[in-house]
Amino acid sequence: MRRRSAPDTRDEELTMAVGLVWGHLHAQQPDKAYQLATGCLQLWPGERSLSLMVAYAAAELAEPVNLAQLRSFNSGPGTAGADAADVAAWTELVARRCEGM
Amino acid sequence: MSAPIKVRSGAPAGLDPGEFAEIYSLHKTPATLRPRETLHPEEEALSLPPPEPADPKISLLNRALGARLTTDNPIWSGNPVPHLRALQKSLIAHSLTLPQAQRRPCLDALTVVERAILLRLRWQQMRRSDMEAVPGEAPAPASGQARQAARGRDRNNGDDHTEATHATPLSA
Repeated sequence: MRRRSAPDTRDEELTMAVGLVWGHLHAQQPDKAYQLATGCLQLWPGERSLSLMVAYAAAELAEPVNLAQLRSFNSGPGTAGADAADVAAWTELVARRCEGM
Repeated sequence: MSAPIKVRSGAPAGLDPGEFAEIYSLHKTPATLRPRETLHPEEEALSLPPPEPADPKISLLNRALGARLTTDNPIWSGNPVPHLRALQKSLIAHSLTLPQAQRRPCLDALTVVERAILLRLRWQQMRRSDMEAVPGEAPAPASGQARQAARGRDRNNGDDHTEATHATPLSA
């Protein structure tokens, strides 16, 4: 692992990255969201929020989607109780979009 | 120099030709918010479209990620530029650990962050110049008062530099 400046800054950076990807999805710019999320996933491999959004953007752009990884978020150890149903619904939405392509 | 003053003194009382050259005499009328139902059809045609209902996909995403990461994300408030710069540094540092052929995704992400930073810097610049414009409005009425005073002096002295400069745009 590389030397990190400070763990706090890394958390802030990830929050910013997630917010910016979300903003691009919100503004219906899936290409920018996909570019940003793909690059940031190299910094935070397998990060849940980024993975959920990159899957949607990829489906929009007809890029390959890792549905198995998305489904693992529904049953994975890091699954929070309250939003688990929403994450599952999101996964199914992305899956439907992939089939529709 | 004396010609514009003659024009001014020759004009009917209450009509100051200098007024027509002054932009500050255009008073800003404060915007009044009215419900859409009370608008005339022409007014409604000129208005912004009603806000669209929230995208159900996005609201599902908001619930899945939580408000802290989406709508309440610190990137939408305060000054997120230092953190975005730090994110860029991390992306560059990471891309340098990769072989050259695999750096493209990190650099594409870097470009997206750069655009977001530029938009925020531009926004901050616009907000700052707006804030500077508010104290800048104070001299406008003050210069009006100075004109009134100059007009008073004009009557006494018959010649005033301030009045002449005000009248110049009219003769130009």
